[in-house]
Amino acid sequence: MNKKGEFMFRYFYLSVFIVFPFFLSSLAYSTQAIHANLEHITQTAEASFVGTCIDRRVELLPDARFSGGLLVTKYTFRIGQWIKGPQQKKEGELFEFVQYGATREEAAKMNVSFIIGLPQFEKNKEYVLFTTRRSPATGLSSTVGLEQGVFDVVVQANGTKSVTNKFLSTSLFQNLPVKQGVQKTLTAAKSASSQDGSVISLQSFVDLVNALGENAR
Amino acid sequence: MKKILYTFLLLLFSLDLSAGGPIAIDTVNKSGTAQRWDKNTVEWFHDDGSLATNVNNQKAVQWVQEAFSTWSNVTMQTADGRSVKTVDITIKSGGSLGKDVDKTNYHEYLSATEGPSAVIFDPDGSILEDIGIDKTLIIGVTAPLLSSGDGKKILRGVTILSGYLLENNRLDPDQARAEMLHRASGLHEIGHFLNLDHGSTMAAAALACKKDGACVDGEFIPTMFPELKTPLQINLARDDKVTISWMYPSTTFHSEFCIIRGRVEDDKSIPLRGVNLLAQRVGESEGLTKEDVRAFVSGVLYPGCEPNSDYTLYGIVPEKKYQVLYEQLPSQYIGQSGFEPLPNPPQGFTAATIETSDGKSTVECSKGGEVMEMPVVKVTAANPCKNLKPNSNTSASAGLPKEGSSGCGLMRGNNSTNVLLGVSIIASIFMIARKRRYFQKGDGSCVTQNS
Repeated sequence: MNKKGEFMFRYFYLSVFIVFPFFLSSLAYSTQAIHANLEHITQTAEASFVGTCIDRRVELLPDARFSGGLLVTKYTFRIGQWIKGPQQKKEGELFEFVQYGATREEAAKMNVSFIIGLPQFEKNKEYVLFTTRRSPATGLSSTVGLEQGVFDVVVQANGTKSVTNKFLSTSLFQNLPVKQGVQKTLTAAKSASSQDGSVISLQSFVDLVNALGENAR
Repeated sequence: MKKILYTFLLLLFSLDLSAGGPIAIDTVNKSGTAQRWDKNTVEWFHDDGSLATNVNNQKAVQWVQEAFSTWSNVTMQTADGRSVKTVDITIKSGGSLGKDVDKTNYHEYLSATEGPSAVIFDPDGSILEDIGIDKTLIIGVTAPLLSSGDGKKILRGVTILSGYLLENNRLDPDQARAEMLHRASGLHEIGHFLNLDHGSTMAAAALACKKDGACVDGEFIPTMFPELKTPLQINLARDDKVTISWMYPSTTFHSEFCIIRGRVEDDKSIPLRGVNLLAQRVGESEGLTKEDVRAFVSGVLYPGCEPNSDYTLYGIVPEKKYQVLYEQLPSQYIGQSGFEPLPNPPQGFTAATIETSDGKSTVECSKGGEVMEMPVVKVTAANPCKNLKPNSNTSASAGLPKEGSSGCGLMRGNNSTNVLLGVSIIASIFMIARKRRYFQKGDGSCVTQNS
């Protein structure tokens, strides 16, 4: 074998050994959500709060059980208003939660799987979140009903805060309990919402969530 | 050595997905093709455990078998009313995994290594909880886990079906209806298993469904809609049937039905990706217009901001009139929800009909196998892909991928991965080097393996 041939052979040989472990690539998990109303979201959530995302870190955790490690996104929120949760948190305190995967672009760069539909949060943006129970084994959690449990807080021109959610004008207010406290706050909330029902006053929304929480007790 | 490292890095970046059609596309060669199961054959293995207290293992396995059978035996009516099989995929049950999979031992089935493709039953939803998924509103998750180095074949998949919602009337107080809803969701997950992504037709009807289950036009909502709205989603809608058929086409599918193709650009002639295109049958009954509709997202067969905004609408019945429309993707399901090739598809434009080059608002083909080219449609909307250049070619057909018709689309029999794996790997190295030049051209033209 001449030098060129030897080089080509080495190239071939080395290519196979380098490439072989990566001839398979992981992909995204897809799922189908059931639509929920605000009562279910409120009652299912382990924690809910108004808070600002102050830190977002994507990490590949070494976890021998998951081949290639466990890709997670760690979020830290500064609490603006605590609504419910196992521990009462005050304004200004921090709340952390860890979610499986990352964005599709980040997962692609690390060659690991992620779940389509898990919401992502931006730094310095304010949200109302309803988070699921934290898994004791992995520490992972997410939001109730994927994006159904995420509300963006927006500041109106007059300085007041409102919330909006992709499902606010469709399924979230359907079939709420007919108890007086809930209906009273629901009426107030609706009167404090935009005409199409897609934007609602933050305080009215929190009052409604609290009423739904009371209703469950 | 540089070349070798270059190849290595490219393969690391070989993961991507798209939506409004397939989940996994060829991101290695960026050939504009969906990934398919190797040899158009799926072999799946089942968990030994039960799905729920009242759904034992035998019943659960039967549900999964029926779901695979539904997808693999799709039929569509031809112009003369014959019902023909439009899908060619082989489903093999490999039998039992040999263990009851639970939260302590599920990890190996989600791993990016070679192994069996599994359908796992998670009776209490504890596996879903373990990965942080809300078991109260999610029935299952699925991934086509592994793909071949040439970016064209799916080699392994997994579906996890939770039985949590089947217990204690959580899904519905009527057990028969609860089971039907669960099976509809299972059918959805098996669709994902075969590489179908979410379907976007009839979104307005789906969003109008009530929490109590009242759902006007529920029979037209696709099984692959991102939300479970009605037990009627246990029946495949036309969009579901057309998508599985173009991904795994029988010869009849292409000989009996026509194709509509075109391209979307913004007002600066730059490819506009992430626009929803629909072809719906018109001129007969309102019900038929709702029933016979399929969608395709522009550029969905190419990842990220590749310079491609083509669309292809399949399963068009000859001698019937179709209206071709464009619209923005439903805002409820953009972002991370997976309809689109981009997380931020264009929004804020009004839906409209695409007219033919001679000004007609409908199209019609005379016999199966015809391809109808639509004029390039210009949409005034903010283009999410800032760095794309204007298309120099004004022809609608120039540079269109041949997915599903001929050319570089991956058809049955055009498959060598398992036979000559080593050769395939090396071939892909050289193909990648060639494609590098191809990308720089950015003409979106079709490149075949032996180019």
